[in-house]
Formats: sequence, structure tokens, C-alpha cells
Amino acid sequence: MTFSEDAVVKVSNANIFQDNSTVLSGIDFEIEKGEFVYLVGRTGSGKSSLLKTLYADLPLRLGNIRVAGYNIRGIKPNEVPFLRRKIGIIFQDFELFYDRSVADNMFFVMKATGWRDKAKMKNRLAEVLMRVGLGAVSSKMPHQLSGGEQQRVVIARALINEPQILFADEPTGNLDPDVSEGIMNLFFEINNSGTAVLMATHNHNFIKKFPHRVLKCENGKILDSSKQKFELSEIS
Amino acid sequence: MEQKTRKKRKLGSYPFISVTISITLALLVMGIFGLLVVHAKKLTLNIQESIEIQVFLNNQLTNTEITRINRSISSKPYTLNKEEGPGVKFISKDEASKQFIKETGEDFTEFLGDNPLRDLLVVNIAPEYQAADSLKWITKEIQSMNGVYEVAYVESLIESINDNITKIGLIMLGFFILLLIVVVILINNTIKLALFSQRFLIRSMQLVGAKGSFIRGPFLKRAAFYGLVAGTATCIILVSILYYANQRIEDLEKLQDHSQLAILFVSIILVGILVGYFSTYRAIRKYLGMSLDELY
Repeated sequence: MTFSEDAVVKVSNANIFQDNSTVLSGIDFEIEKGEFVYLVGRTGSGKSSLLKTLYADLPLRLGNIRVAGYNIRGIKPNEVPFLRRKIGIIFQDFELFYDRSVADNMFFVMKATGWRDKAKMKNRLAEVLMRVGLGAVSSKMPHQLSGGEQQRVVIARALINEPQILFADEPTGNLDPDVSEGIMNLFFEINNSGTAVLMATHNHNFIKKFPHRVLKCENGKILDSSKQKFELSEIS
Repeated sequence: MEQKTRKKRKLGSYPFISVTISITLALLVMGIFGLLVVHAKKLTLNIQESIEIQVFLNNQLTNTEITRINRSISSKPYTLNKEEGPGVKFISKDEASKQFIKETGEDFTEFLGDNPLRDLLVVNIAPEYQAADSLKWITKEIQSMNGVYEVAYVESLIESINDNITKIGLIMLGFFILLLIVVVILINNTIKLALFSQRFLIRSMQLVGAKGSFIRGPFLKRAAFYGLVAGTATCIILVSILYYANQRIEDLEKLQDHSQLAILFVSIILVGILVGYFSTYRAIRKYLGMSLDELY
């Protein structure tokens, strides 16, 4: 398989493990810079494990994966933080800190990723909040925001270090359809400005309404809509 | 009904009071034993410094000759140097007889017509020369001095003192090591349990790309601070115990060596800080290396 120079994610002949059992085997795909890709599949089909492997939370034991210039196979523990500064993670278990304001949530991430200059930090905070359509919430506490607004803050947090790709796991899972659509539109806006997105979702209505390339985890393999056709209705 | 409002605990903080109390209690156990050791050490030294040999002198020695022997023994390395000077005491035969008469109430010079006692030098021996072998050659050396009639000491008593001191010392050392291990394990487990509640915060930091050192830093600082507070609290409690005990037990203060007590207190504070620091380091390292599934 040949890989494009522009690929942000390159997966070749990789096996994805959950504990000691293989959930996906011999998978190959790549995601170009600025591409939007859905990741679908039944619960337990390996979507989350694949995402975790991509951001080096689960070890890659077989095959090769390259994400944002880092080889995931055999990545050293001290390289992992630098990989994660080049990607954005939007994950169900990765919530905001509810004991501090939106601004402090953002500053926390900036400090953790090596930001020192306070003026630059304030500028960046304003930039990312504007980008997700939340101009005036920086002094609010997360619990004072609606579910949709909180999710926008989560996305803003992921954008702080200008990631090459966003990995999102069910980002609209807990939101009502109208709010979800707003969040999806936000993802598309971010995508249009050049950030690749890999989004795991169960919501095939969105996939029909906003069609993009789909990767489907099925029977231990990945089906790729750019190479073969498969029924979206099978997605559940 | 009145509703109680509780201040929301800041993420990243873990129960300060309960962790500090647990560390304080663990250190207190060690500290009390430490006090026992410091007192026992001083008591041992007192006993050892009272070990003496008696040097009986020939009759009709002049004062100059007695002074010469006294000086000669005083200059020897095995003679204990006390604060007030070398541990050699001269008792003339007249003083000895007066003391004997005073103790027994019988004037033996009356029926003997003469004082059969001899002039005597009582020599305190330095603790490092109190082994049976050393005492033998010391006796020989003093015996060979001009003007010395006989050298005597209670061999069995000294041997039994030395034996017991060695045994008690070994038992105390063993017990101290055991206590130290218990204290380290107790503090380690307390901190590990306290940090368990922080594992998802640690994970969040990892997901945003924080380096291990950035994540560990605040936890380590806090653990060292808790150790310092617990160590200081332990020292305050120990000083209070000592103060109370000194009021109640006569002469106990004589067994207290202030420099050794200071070393004990500094050690307790250091153990608190170091064990807190390294336990936290280990616990954080463990959580840093865990995947999400392992954290659950």
C-alpha cells in the first residue's frame, strides 16, 4: 500500500487489541490532511479501541500506525505528550473540570502543554472560544452552561494547540437533535479550515445528512466507503 | 429544614486532614520508640561510664610517686575522660578506713593496731575498652607500673553488663527496622489510597498532552508539605510527652541528650517528607502508566 505524503493518519496492517483479544486485524487506511471521516460500527466492534490506539492510550502490538508524524508502534512514553499536543481528543470520559471557570479550564490545558506567556494565553483563549461560537462564557462555570455549550467548550479545549486532527468519540451522544446539529456544523467549520476529523458515531442520520467518507468496523475488519460500498442502514 | 452548603472540593486536592493525621500517627509510633532508644542509649552510657577498676598502691609511696602513677594512668587512652577531667580518683588509705568505719560502725584499727588498707586509685574505663580482652591487657599494663600493688575489677559483672548491652542493642535495632518498615508501608498505603481518587484528573492531564513532570510536580510538592506538617506535628507531640514525663519522673532529664533528641526530631520530619514524596512519586507513576480500562 502506498501512502500519501499529506496523510495525518497512516495505518498499515495493524491489529487492534482490547485487553488480550484482537478486535480489529490487518487494518489499512489513511486520513489526509483536512479530511472528515466517520468511524462507525456496533458497540464492541473496536471503534473506541482504534481511537485509543491512535492517540497512544492502548499499545500497538502488531503493524504500523503513524499519527501527526509520530510512529505509534514503540512510541516512547516521553513522546506521547508531544503527540497529544498535535491532536485534539474529544472523548466521553474526558470532561471539563467543574470546579473552575471556562477560562481556567483552558488555561490549565495551556499551562500543561507548555504555554507561559499570559498575554498570549488570553489571546488564544479568546480565539478558540470565538471559533466555537462562545464569545462571552470565559468567566462562567461549566455547570452554568447548557449541554451544547459545554460540548463547544470541550471542542475549544481540543483546538488550543492547533491540532492536525481531532479524534471525537460520540461527541453528540448526550445532546438533543437540534443542539447536535449545531455541534456537527461546528465540526464541519473546523474541518473546512484545514483540521482533519475522525469521528466515531452511532448517529447515521448525520452521516446521511452530511455525507463524508465512512470507515466501518465490522467482523474484525475495517470497511472503507472510499473503496467499497456498504449499507449505512446496517450501522447501529 | 436548613440545608447545609458544602464548599466544593477543588479537583486535585485530596483529604489533607486525614492524610496528615495518618502520617502523624505513623511517625508518632516511630518517634516514641526513638525517644526510648535515645534514653536507653544515655542510660547505657551512664552504666558503662561507671565501670571501674581499682588500682591498689604499695605502702609508703610518697605523694610525688602517687601523683606520677595517677598522671600516667590519666594519660592513657583507655581512661575515661569525664567533663570534670580524667576519670581517675585517688582514695587514701585513711579516707578508706574512715569510710569503712562509717559504713560498718566498727573501728578495726583499734584491734589490729594498724590500718591494713592501701592507698587506692579508682579508674573509670572508656566504653570502647570495656571488652574482656581489653580489660585484661589494661590490668597487666597497670600492674607492671612501679608502685602498683594489685589491680582488681569484677570481671563477671562487667562481662554481663557488656553482654546485655549488646543483646538489648540488637533487639532494639531489629525492632526499629521493623517499625520503620511498618511506618513506610502505612504512609505509602495512605497516600496511594488518597491519590486513587485523583486518577481521572491525572488521565485528563495526560490527554491534553501534559508531560509526566508537569503532572507529578504539584502532587509531589503537596506530599512533601503534608510530610513536613505531619513530621512537625509529631515533634510537637513528642516534646509535650517529654515535658510531661520530665515533670513526673525524677532524674529523667539526666538521660536526655539534647543533640540526640534534635537528630531524632529532624529525622522524623525527614522521614515524613521523604516517604510522602517517594510514595506519591510511585503512585503517580503507576497511574501515569495505566490505560483508561485499567483506571476503571
